[in-house]
Amino acid sequence: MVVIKFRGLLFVVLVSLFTLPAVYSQELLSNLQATGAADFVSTVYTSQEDERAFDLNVRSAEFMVSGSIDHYFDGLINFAGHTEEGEFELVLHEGYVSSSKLIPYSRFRVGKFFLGVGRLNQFHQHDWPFTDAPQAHNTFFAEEGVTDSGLEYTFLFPTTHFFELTAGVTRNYCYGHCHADVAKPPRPLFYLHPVTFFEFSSQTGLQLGLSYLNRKDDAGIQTHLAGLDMTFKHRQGKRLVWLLQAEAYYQDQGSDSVDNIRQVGGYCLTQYGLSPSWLLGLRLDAFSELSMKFQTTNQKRDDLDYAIVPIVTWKPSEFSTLRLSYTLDVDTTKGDKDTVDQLVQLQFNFILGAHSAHDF
Amino acid sequence: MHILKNLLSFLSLTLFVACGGGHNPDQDLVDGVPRSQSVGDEKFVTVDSSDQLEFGDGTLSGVGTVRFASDLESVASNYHYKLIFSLEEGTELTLHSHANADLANGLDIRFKRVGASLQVFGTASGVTDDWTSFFKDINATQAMAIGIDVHNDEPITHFIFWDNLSGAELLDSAKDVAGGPGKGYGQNWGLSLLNAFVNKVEKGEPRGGH
Repeated sequence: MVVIKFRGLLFVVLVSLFTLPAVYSQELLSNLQATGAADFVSTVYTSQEDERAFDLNVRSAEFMVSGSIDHYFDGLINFAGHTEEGEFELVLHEGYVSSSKLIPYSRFRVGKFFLGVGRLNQFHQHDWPFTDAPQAHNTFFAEEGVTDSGLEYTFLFPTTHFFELTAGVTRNYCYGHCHADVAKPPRPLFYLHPVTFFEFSSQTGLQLGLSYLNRKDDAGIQTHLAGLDMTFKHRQGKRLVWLLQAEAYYQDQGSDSVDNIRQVGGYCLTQYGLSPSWLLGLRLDAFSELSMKFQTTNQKRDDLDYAIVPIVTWKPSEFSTLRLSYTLDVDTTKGDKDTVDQLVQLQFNFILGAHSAHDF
Repeated sequence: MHILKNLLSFLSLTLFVACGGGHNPDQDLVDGVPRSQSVGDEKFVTVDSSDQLEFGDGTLSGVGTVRFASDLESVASNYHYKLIFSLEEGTELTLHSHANADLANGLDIRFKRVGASLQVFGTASGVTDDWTSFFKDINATQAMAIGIDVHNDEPITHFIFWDNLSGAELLDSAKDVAGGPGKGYGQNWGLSLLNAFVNKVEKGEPRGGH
C-alpha cells in the first residue's frame, strides 16, 4: 500500500477539481468522472460488554476519478481512507489503466486493483448489500477486499451464450490488509475466474462464477483457494424484487515443514424488495476449520462458526443508503461450550457524483 | 414462497447444527496437571528436561521449556499475553505463540538483558526481526511487565507491545516496521527460560482491535 504523505495537499487538489470556475472545470473534467463516497457505521448494541461504547465512526471515505485517457485507454484512480484504532489513514486503493479496444473480445487492466476473483471482492464496501463482511470473506480475502498490483486479462468468448474468462497475475508482496510490503515472495500470485451469465429476461438474470487463486509467500507457505459465486437478480422496473447472492470457498494452506490448514466457508444472502426503496434481507454465514485437532490426541476436532444476519435497508435514492442489521454469531467447537455473540449495527453511506454501474 | 420455504429449512438446519460440547481430551490434560505446576493461573507441562526448572509457588525460574496446558483456540486467532518477569545480565526469556506441541513452527518473541537494556527479537519461519530499538526506555535491571498482542489471523501476522508499568505502547509491528517475521502454524503457546524468573503470565483476548 502506498501511504500518501502529503495528505493535506492532495485533499486541496481534489477539492479544487470540484470548485474551479465552470469554464475551466468543463475543459478539465470533460473526460473525467469524479465520485466521492463515505460510509458511517455505528454499533447500536453488542453482547460484548467491554466493547459497548458510542462508536459512530467514519468507516471509510473514498474519492475516485476515472475516464478516457485517449482512444485506446481508460484510467481510474481511487483513494480511500479508513479509520483504524482512531486514526484515519488515506491510501491508494486502486490505480490502473485499462482497455477494451486493443485486442478483440478482450479487456485488460494494469496497475493496482481489487483482484478479479469472487463476487464481493470486486465491490467497494459501500456497494455491499450488507454492512460487515461474512467471516469467510474476512478470512480468505480481507475486511474489505484484496487489492494488489499486476496485470489482469479477460477474454469474452465469441459465443451466443455469455462466457468470459479472467486471468490475473500480481506482485504477491502483500495479500490482504498490510501496512507495508514484506519479504520478496518466490513467485507472483495468479488467479482464474471463469464466469457465465443466463439472461432469463431483460429484468432477470443469473451469473455464475468459479474462482481459483494460488500464491506462495516468502516463508514457503502455499495457498490454494477455490470457490464459486452466484448472483441472481429479478427486477420489476426500478424495484429489485429478488437478489440472491452466495459464495463458497475452500482454502488449503501449508508447506513441507508445517501441517496444512484447511478451511471452508461462505455465505448466502436473500434479499426481497418491498419497494424500490425498502429492502429486507437475510444472510446466513458458515465457516469451518477442517484441520482443527485436539492437541493431546491429534484427533479431528469438529468446528463450525455460523451467523444469521437479518437486514433492513432504506435507499431513498441510488446515492444514499440507511441500513439496520442484527448479527447472531455462534461459535461451536467440539469439547467447548458454544460462544454466542449478538451485534446490532446502523450504517449510512452516500455517493457524490456519478458512480459507474457494475456490470451486474 | 418456494424460496422462502427452502430458506426456512436451511435456517432450521443451522440452528440445530452444533459442534460444541462433547469430550475434550485437551481439557483432560489441563485438569490432570497439578496446581503446583503453574505460573499464576496458567498450568503447564514441560517440553524438555525440567531438572533445572524451579516452580511450585506460582512462579517459574531456571532453565527449560514449558508448554501451557490450555491451548489456543485455533491457528488463525489473536491473543494478548501479559508477562511479568526479571532477567539477570545475559539471561533470556522467550514467549512461544501459535506453535506446535514441541513449540516449533510458531512465533517466538525473545527477551534478552544486556546491561540495563532489553533486547527483543521476533522469529518465525526462520526469519528474525530485531525490535530492540523500540524498547530503549525499558529498564531491564528491574522487574518488567510487558503486554503483547499477537494477531495471527491476518494476512501478515503482527505484534503490539505495551510497557505495562508505564502504560506506553512500545511497538506495533504493522505500523512501525514491516509487519512481522512470519506466521505461526500451531495452537500451542509456552515459555523458554534461560535463567529467567517469571512472576506471572496470562493469556486473554487481544487488547488491540487490529
